[in-house]
Amino acid sequence: MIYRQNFNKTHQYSFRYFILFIIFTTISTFPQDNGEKIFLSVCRACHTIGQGRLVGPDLANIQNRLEEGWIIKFVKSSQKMIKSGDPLAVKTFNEYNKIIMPDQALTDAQIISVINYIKEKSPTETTSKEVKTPAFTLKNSLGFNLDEAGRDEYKLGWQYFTGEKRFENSGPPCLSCHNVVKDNLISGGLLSKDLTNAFSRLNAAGINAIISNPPFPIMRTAFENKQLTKDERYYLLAFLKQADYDSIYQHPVNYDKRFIYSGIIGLIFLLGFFGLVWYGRKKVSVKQDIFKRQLKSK
Amino acid sequence: MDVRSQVSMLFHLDKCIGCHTCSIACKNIWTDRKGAEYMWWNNVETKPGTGYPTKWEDQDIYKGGWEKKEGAGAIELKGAGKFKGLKNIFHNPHLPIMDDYYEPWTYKYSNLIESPAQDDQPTARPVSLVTGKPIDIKAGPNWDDDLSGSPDYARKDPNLENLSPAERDAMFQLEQMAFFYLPRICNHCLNPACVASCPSGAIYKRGEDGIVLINQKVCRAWRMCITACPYKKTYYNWSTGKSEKCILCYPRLEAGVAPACMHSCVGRIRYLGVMLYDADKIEEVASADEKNLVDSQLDIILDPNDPEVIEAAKANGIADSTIHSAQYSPVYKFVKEWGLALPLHPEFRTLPMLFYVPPLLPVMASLSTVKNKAQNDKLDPIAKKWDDDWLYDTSTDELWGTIDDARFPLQYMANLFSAGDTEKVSIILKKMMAVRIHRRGVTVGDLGDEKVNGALSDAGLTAEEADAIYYLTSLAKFDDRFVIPPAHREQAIEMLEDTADVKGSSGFGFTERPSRGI
Repeated sequence: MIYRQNFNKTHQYSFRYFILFIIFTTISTFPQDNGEKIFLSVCRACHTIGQGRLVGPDLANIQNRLEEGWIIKFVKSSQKMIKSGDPLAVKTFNEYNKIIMPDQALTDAQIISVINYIKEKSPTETTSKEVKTPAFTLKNSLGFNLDEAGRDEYKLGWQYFTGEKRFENSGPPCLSCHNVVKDNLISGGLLSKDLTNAFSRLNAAGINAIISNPPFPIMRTAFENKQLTKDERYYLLAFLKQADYDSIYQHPVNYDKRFIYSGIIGLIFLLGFFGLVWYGRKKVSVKQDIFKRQLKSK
Repeated sequence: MDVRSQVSMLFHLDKCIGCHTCSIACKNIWTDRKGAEYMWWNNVETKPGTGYPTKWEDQDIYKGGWEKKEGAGAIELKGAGKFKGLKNIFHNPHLPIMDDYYEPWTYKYSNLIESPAQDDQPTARPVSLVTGKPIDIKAGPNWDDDLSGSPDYARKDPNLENLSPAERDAMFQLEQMAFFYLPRICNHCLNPACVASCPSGAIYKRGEDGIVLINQKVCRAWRMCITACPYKKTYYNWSTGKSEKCILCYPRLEAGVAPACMHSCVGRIRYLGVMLYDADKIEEVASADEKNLVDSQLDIILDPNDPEVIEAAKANGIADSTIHSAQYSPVYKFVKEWGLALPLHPEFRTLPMLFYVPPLLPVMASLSTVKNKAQNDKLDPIAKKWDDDWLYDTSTDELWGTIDDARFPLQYMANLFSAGDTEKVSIILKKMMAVRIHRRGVTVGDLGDEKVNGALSDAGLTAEEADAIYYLTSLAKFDDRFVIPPAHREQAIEMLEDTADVKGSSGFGFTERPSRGI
């Protein structure tokens, strides 16, 4: 029996070591293979490598400008650093219009692999100006490119945007949080950014990255397990592109003052209406004239 | 024929002395609670007067009761109902406010005993029972009692409506003034406007005895019943947020005891008994033309001795004991057999089941000029002598003349009891007068048979009937005045509980240990 117990114990230990070994190797090898994948899905929404600033700064040769430890801390929680008063973090935040960089749930190793990927793709002095990031293309299931999108695609995109047509995986419609200035379109939500000029601001690549893998916490939660399909993204982009292009022809109405004035006029009208409907009501006590004559103590 | 039973009431106004004992008995039992201080389920009003709440009879102000529009066959509620109720459900525009009743108060008696020594007498200031703060008392529930404040109250009585200015003025001339008392409780109507108006369905008319009750668990304080009741006999309890009304002391009735107001009545003016009526006719009667209202309401009451009625009543589940007590009902006798009583304000069309015998006294008496000198000379020198030459004349030389030239115009009575029909009031007063003449013939014997019999036949009464009226009016014992049907609550309880579970056990036992030093 004693032998048997020992035997079991030895086997248990060896099994644990085996598991640990597997985990260790996966952690250490997986991110290196996925630096490109992570960059394309997470970072590219706001950053480029060597193509100039987008929402956030150009990350070309970031490894030369910043320390690795600083980058890891910043990626994990930029706001924490800004609040703690790190001068560089504050400077960057202010420079980029105080747009908050969302906290990324990435491991140290994953961030390092992204840095390695950036390092690899950055234009060196010898390969200056050469773009190494693969050019963005988005084709729908029929094989059409975004430039080929026409009236129908735009219409579909409109319907997806407003929720007239549901997303296949039942993600929430964009309109509930975002607004697009469009004369025939009902005003959208004010929770998030106005998307009228999103296309010129973020490019097709940026928007696609954001809607396929939202970096913003609320949006990420909203679309968790409710991924947009490739076609849906295509139609939305077609819509946003057209909306951006059309935006200069729109005549958005300013309701500010009109809203207040119509409210006041409506209130007066309603009070008058109520006054007429209940004109015959009993207004005072039947003994009012008696009470008026009575003496009152001080 | 859908025969149902109704416990109905009769108040003999000739006997009411306006002592308010009934009101106090009721208040002590039922409404001596927070939020109910201003409620007078029973109150006594002086007529002419505006009553409680002030001007309650003026439905142009309070919009109570039913109305029959020109051309329309069916009646509808004046201030509530489906459309009006929905329109006004969050703002009921015709409700009486606290000033229309009065702000209930008490006195700060502790001032009297706790005051330190000082130059002035301490006073017990009046304190509001609503806010708890000192108030100026502006009005009370019987502020116009005995014609007090007549220019403000009695002269504004809504019942003076069809009277000529001369008649009105005559009513308020000094030494011509007359008044009588009108005690009021809930009428437990056959066509109650409060039940019809309730949006929550909280008010109901009990099947076995027709008592109208408000379910306190269902009431949602919409207060439509307060507008709808033309008699203003539902009251809103501001503390509990529920409406309340006279319950005709049903716990007492079920135990075979008369309601508190009736039991305590000093003048013994109150009678209570069962009447059988035909529920199929309610709608038809309630929407009758105004001049037929009283007659058709009296027609709906069925003869409890008619075999057909008895059979239909039994088929409807009315107990034999209830039918039996209906046959001995004093109310039935006054209302149907003798035709001496009328409902209060039948024109509200709620078919009230509380009937009034109109007061004869201020009608029959008149003032005449006499020479008192000869009479005064006969008196003892120390006796009190009157120097004036007026006589409060109750003589009956001219049989019916005094009724028509009464100090109280018949029209005023008719506005109260018969929707303006003076003929109906006049017949009753004649009958009452005939009974008096008959009894004078019996006991004094100074009038002569011809005159007595002439009076009786003019009024349509026989001598036996006159004696019966006299007995029930003046001599009736407790059990003659209150013929209360057995409630058979044991049957109702058996539906809910097993009454046999204490059989064989030795009672409820002691709740406290006996202390007899054992």
